[in-house]
Amino acid sequence: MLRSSRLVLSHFWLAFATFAGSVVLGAWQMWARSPLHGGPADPELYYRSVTAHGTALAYVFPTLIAMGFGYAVSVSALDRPLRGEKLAWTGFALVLVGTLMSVLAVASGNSSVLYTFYPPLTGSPFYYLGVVLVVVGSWFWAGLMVYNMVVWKREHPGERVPLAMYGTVANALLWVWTSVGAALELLFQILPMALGWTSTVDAGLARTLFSWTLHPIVYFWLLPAYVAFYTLLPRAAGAPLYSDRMGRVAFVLFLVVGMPVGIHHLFADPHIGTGFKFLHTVFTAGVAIPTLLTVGGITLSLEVAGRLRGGRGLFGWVGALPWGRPMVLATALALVMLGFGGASGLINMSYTLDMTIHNTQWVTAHFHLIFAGTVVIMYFAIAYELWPHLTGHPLRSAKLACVQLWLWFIGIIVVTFPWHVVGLMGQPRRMSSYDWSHPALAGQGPLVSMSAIGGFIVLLSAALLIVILLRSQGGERVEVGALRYARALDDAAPLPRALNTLGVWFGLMVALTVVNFGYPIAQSFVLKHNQVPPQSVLVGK
Amino acid sequence: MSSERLGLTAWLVAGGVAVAAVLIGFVWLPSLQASALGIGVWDAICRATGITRPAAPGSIASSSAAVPTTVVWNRETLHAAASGEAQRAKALALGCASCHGAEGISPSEAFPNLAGLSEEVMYKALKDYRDRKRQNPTMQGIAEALDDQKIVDLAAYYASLPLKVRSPADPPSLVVVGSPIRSIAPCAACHGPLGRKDGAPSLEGQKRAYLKAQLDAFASGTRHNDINQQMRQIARALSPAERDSVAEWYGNQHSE
Repeated sequence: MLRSSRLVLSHFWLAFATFAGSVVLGAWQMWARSPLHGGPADPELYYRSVTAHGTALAYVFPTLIAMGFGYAVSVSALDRPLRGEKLAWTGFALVLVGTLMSVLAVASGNSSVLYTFYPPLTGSPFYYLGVVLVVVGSWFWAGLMVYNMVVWKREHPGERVPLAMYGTVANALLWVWTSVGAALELLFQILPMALGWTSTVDAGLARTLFSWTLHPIVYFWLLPAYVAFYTLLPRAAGAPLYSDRMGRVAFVLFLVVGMPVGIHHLFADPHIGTGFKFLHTVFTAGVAIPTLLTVGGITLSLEVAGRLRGGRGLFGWVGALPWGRPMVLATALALVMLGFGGASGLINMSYTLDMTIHNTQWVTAHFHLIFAGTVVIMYFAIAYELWPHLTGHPLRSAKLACVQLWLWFIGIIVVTFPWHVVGLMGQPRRMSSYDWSHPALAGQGPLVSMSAIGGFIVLLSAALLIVILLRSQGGERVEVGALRYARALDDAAPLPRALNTLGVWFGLMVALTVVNFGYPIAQSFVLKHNQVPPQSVLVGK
Repeated sequence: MSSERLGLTAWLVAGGVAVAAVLIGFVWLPSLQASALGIGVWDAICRATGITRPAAPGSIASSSAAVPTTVVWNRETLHAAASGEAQRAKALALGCASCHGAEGISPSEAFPNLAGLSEEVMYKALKDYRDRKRQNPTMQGIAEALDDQKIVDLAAYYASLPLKVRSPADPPSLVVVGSPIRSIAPCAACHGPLGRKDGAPSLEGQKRAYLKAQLDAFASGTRHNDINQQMRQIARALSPAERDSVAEWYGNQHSE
C-alpha cells in the first residue's frame, strides 16, 4: 500500500463526492433550458445551480485531485514518507470547510453570482470566504510539494528529480502564482464590497485580476493529466516513455507561456489596450508548443508499446495496444477530445475570430470539451490506477472501468458537439431559458435537446464511476506492490541543469506576468470613473 | 547528470518571438489602424497600450449637446443623492402637490407618481431638468430654482413616501423575458419587479399615459438624457403597440 494512503484517499473521495453532486446539477441545467423541459425553468434556481456547478467543478474538484495525486506522487516517486503530513491534513480541512461554506451560501440563494464572481454582482461574504479557504488550503499543498522536492534534492545531489515529481511541483508553482490574481480580487475588492466596507468597486480591474487566474487555472487542472500521460501511461501500455526531457520541456513551457494568456478572456473589454490583447493572443498560441510536444511524445511512446507487443505496419501498432487497460483507453479518448477542443480553442484565442463566438454557447461547449472531456477522463484514469495502491483491493473491474470511460467519452461528445453548433448559430450563454416557440430559434431546439440527452449519458457514467470506486474498496485483499513510474528511453542522456530545477522558470513566469499584466493593472489606479456601485443578489434585496 | 546548459539558439528564438509580438501588437497593427481612424501613429500606439487622455477640445465628445446627462453614477454622486433630509423638503413639496399629489400620487395620468421613487431617480431627474438635459418647460423652470441641497432633500422626501402596488397577473413577455433577438433586456430586470438597478426608476404603479409618453419620447429622441442611449435604443426597437402594452401593464398596477 501507498504511504499516506488515507490522506490521498480522503482527497479523492471528497473530490468525487463534490463531482458527483455537480454532475447532477449540470445535467439538470442542460435539461432545464432545453425544449425537453416544456417551459422556462425558474431562473432563481437555475443560476443557483450554475453557481454551485461552476464553483465545485472549477475550484474544488480539480484542486482536490491535484492535491491528492500530488501527495501520491511525492511519496511514491521520491520513495520516502511525506514531510509535513499534519500540514497536509490542515490544508485538506481548510478545503473541506471552505467547500461547505460556499455550497451552503449558494444553496441559500444568496450567492448566485456564478463562479466567475462578476462584480459588481455581490453575494453573501460566506461564499467568497469559502472560496478563499479552498484556495488557501491548496497553498498548503503547493508549499509541501516544493518543500518535499527541495529536501529530496538536497539529499540526492546531482540526481535528476523523477519526472512525475518535477511535473507535480511545476503545477504547484503554476497554481500558487496563478491563484494570486483571483486572491487579490477577492481580498481587496470583492470581500470589502460584500461586507459593506466599500460603496463601489472597479469592475474592470476585477475582471483583469480574475483573468490572471483564469486562464492559467485551466493548465493547473490539465497538468495532473499530463503527469499521467508521461509517467503512468507508458507503464500501463507496457513500454518506456519516449522522452523524459520532452516532458520536462512541456512542463516548464506551461509555466512560461501558460501564464500571460488571460486577457484573451477580455477581448471585448474596453479597458484593456489592443496591444495587450494581441500579446496575450500570441502567448495563448504558444501553449500549442507544449501541447503538441506532449501529443507527439505520448503517441511515440504508444507506438513503441504497440510495436513491442507485435504491432506491424504503419498503423498496426494501434490495434496491438492493450485497450482493456483504463489508462491506455482514457489517454486515447482524452487525446481525441483534446484535438477537437484545441481546434475550437484556436477560435477563442484569436482576437478577431473570437468576436464571432464571443459570449455564445460555443465558449461553454469548448471548455466542457477540454475540461470535462480531456482533463476529467484522465482524473478517472488516475483514480483507477491509484485505487489498488490506496485501498489494497483490486480494481473491480477494469472492464467496467472501460465501459465507464467510453460512456463518458460518448456523453461528452454528444453534449458538446451540438453545443458548439448552437453557439455558431448565435445562442448566448448564461441564459436560464430560451423562447422555443420563437421561429428564429427553430433550428436550435433539436440540437439543444440532443445536448441535454448527452448530459444524462454523462450522469450515468459518473454514477458508474462511483459504483466502481466503492466496489473496489472491498473484496479480497491483494498485494499490489509499489506504485512505479515509467522509465524513459533517454534516461541516460545528459540533462540540462535548467530542466532539473524550477526556480528559473518560476522567475520567468513572474517576470512575464509583470510585463503582460503590469500596465493594465496599474492603469486602473489612474483612471477615474471606473468605480461602479455593487448590485446585491441577496434574497429579499 | 550533466550540467549541460540550454542552447543559446533556444533563448534567441524565444526572445525573438517575444520582441516580434511586441512590435506587431504595439507598433505595426496600431500604425495600420491609425490611417483607418484618421489619427496620428503615436496616438494609435498609446491607444494600443490602453493609455487614455481627454479628447481634443472641439471634438464631438466634448460638445455639450452630445452629452446626455451630467449625472454619472459613482461613489460621489451616489453618496450625494442619498444625503438629503426628508423633513426639510416637506414645505417645499407643497409646491409639487398640485401636479404630483399631496402624497406623491399624481391625480392626473399625464404626471408621474413620485411616491417611493428612489433618491437617485429624483436626483438625476431634477438635475437633468436643471441642466436642460431633459426637456419640459414647466419642470425646467421649477428645477432651475432648486439648489443642490433642495434637490437631495426632495429626493429623500419622495423616497420616504409609500407607494403600495398590486401586480396584475400575466405580464407581457417583453416585461419578463425581453426580446433577446433584438437585444432588448426584460424591463422588469431593471425597473422591477424582477430586479432593480441604481438610477433606474421603479415603474410599478406608474401612470400609463406618462410611461407611454416617455417611451415615445425616447423612441423619437426628444428625450435623450440616457447615457449610451440605453433607453433610446430599446424604445426605438419597440413597435408603438409594444410600447403601449408595456405602459399598460406597469400602469395597471394601481395603488391600493
